Amino acid sequence: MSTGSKVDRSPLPAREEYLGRQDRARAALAEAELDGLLAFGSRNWPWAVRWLADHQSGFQQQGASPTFGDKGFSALILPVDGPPILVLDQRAMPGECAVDDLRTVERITLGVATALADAGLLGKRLGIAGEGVMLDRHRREIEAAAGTALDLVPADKLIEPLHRVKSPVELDCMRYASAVGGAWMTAMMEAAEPGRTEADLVAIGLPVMLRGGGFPADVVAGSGNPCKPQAPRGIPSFNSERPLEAGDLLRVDGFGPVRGYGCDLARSTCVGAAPTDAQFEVLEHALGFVEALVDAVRPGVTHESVHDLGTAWLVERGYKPHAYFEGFWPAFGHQIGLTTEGPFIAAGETDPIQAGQTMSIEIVLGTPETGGISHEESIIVTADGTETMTAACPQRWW
Amino acid sequence: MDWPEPKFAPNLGSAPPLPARAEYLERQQRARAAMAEAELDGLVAFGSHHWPWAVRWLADYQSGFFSSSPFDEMGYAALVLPVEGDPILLIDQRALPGELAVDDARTVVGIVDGVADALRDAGLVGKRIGMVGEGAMLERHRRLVEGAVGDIDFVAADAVIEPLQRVKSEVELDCLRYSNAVGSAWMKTMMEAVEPGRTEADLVSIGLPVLVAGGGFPADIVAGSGNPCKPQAPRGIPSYNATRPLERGDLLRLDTVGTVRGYDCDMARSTCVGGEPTEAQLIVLEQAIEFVETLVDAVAPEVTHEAVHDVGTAWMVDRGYPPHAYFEGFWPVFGHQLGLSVEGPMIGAGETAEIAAGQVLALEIVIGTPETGGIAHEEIIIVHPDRNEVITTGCPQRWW
Repeated sequence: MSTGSKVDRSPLPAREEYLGRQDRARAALAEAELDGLLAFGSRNWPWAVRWLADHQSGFQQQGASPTFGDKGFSALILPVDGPPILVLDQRAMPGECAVDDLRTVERITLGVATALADAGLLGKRLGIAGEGVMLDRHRREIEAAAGTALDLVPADKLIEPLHRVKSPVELDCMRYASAVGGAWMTAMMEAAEPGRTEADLVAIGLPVMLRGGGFPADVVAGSGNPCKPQAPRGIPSFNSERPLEAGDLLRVDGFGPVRGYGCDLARSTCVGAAPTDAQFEVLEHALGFVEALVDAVRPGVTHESVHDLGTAWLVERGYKPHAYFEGFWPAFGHQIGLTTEGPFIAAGETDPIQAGQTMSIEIVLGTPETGGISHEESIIVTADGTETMTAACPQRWW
Repeated sequence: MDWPEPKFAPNLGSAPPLPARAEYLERQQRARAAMAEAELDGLVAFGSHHWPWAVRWLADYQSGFFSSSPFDEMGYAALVLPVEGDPILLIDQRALPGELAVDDARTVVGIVDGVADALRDAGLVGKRIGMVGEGAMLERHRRLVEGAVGDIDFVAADAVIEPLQRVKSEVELDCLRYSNAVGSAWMKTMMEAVEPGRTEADLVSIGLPVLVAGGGFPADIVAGSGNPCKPQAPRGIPSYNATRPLERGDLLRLDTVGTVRGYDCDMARSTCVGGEPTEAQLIVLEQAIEFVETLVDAVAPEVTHEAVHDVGTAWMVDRGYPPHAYFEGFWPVFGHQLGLSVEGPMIGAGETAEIAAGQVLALEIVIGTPETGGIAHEEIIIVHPDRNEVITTGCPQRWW
């Protein structure tokens, strides 16, 4: 693994880059015999609108209202032949987004219906991108306002591949985000000692993330002997009451956006004591597993084949083929960019990897005796290998 | 306006119990009765990490997965609740027996496939089904479920189930008192740290350990500052600025939203940084408090949410402000319900439902002039038969 980190705040993508993306999206739509695109984005799942139009709602999702409908959403209407229209839930100044026709509306769905009519797209064949955002209720309300059914074609698989390979500007943004993430994780791991709670570590680490321009999406922790999740279901994903004990295994997985780009890494250790032989083995195995997969990542290799390598690695060492997650998250990683994205490092993901992709490779590994610990690195795929963006945080804390 | 001491200290040692399993079973029974009255055969409730209320309220489950990826369905859960028959819960994580308020809890790789199977098992295919958690159920979910079991006669049913959870139980009210005691301590810590030279992010950094130690996690911190006061953050996340030092004489506003043990806290405070506010600044700072207090005083059982909004609009106009305040019409409300999420009904036009004792409301404003910019104030209240209880009193209103 080669390592790299970038600690300076790099420029964000310029308007021209967004216009280039819109043209590439138009070409893909035309090739798929679509007349246009309806892209939905939310604060928490922003990629389609953010990547095409440089907008991400700042509103937390709220209950629907008779006056403003759903807050926390925005939508882009992109005709194959014609200028785009961005419908958003906040004020925006001219030039602030990468679309000239910005419409701040009280109801996104009514705004979309109007924009579709203005763009001449009612009754036409439309791709829907940002499928992880568009609610069933949105479709119903748009159709009611437009007075006609929409002919929507799922198009995430059309648009997502266009943004999978990052531009040089985006790669620098990712390097910066991971540098902040690495410092965030380092601060948490340095603070791991008996008597502190998982929440204490989170509290100690967050200022590093925040001052770097980031915000946590989540911090998923586990601890104990055996190591396991100590948090209740839901939010937060760490425990605020139980003091760590000497000899506990501890795992911390931190992720969140920094200036819009995600950082994501995981580290583990034995708290306040030398690990037992069994603990030492799983700690080292987690590193060995991730390094083996990183070394396997190359342009032209499929995501599935990297997953297969991981499965074989686990089986050879006596682990179950799907590791500690017991099959319900049967993947060893994912793309990382504006969100935690696909394709995953998983069975059935047959797309070849390309240079310029940014990926997180991860595992939760353990035995019934040790419990599950985790390790994760985020990498850039280069023409001849990989660059680890999360190298600023040491791998071993034992 | 009464300003009582918080009932709970803002630390986990004083936290009240969470709702017991029996409370969830009783909610399921009430939901069944409401569905039967609406001539529905059952419901499918969707919940997500970010929009959990329907599944959390009925079945005590909220996904811990952050992602709502279009490439799988992690981050979602669903409850299939027949009017006659046992509920089936589809979840994206492991759960131990007895951990949830549904016996038939199925950990599945794909939520939509799980829903399709559950609808078959519950005998609900071809029946009339209410759809709840409309803010979580994707167009894609419906498409995929229908692809598996055929067209479904889905009926939008948030309006049937949401009112059932609008009035909180005594246990929930204590949970919200606790979460807002933590939220108040969080805000107080930030406000005490305000001084020239610090950034908005510095204040957030200083405050968050208080929230986290109390068992919470931030949803957002929306800040504005400057002279005039305005948002300094870029669009998206985070909603505060990490580079600009506050200057003496700046106005500053902070609006915090977070989750504490599943229940939200939410409040806003403002001040003038490092000195005495100007006359114009003092007017808007004081008027923001007066506005919220006026609305708190207007809230009572049987008063509609819209009527409270109308009081606010009249107050604004009387003092020479536009009727919709600083948001310029695109968030035309003066508050909302607070519970498992930031919920409706809003304090807005068209919200004709009557307020009832046991509701928990956030009352808020961003107010200002072109000279001052916009500052914010927000309090959370519990509606009682004869009074309103402010539960954000752990943080002083005035910081100037």
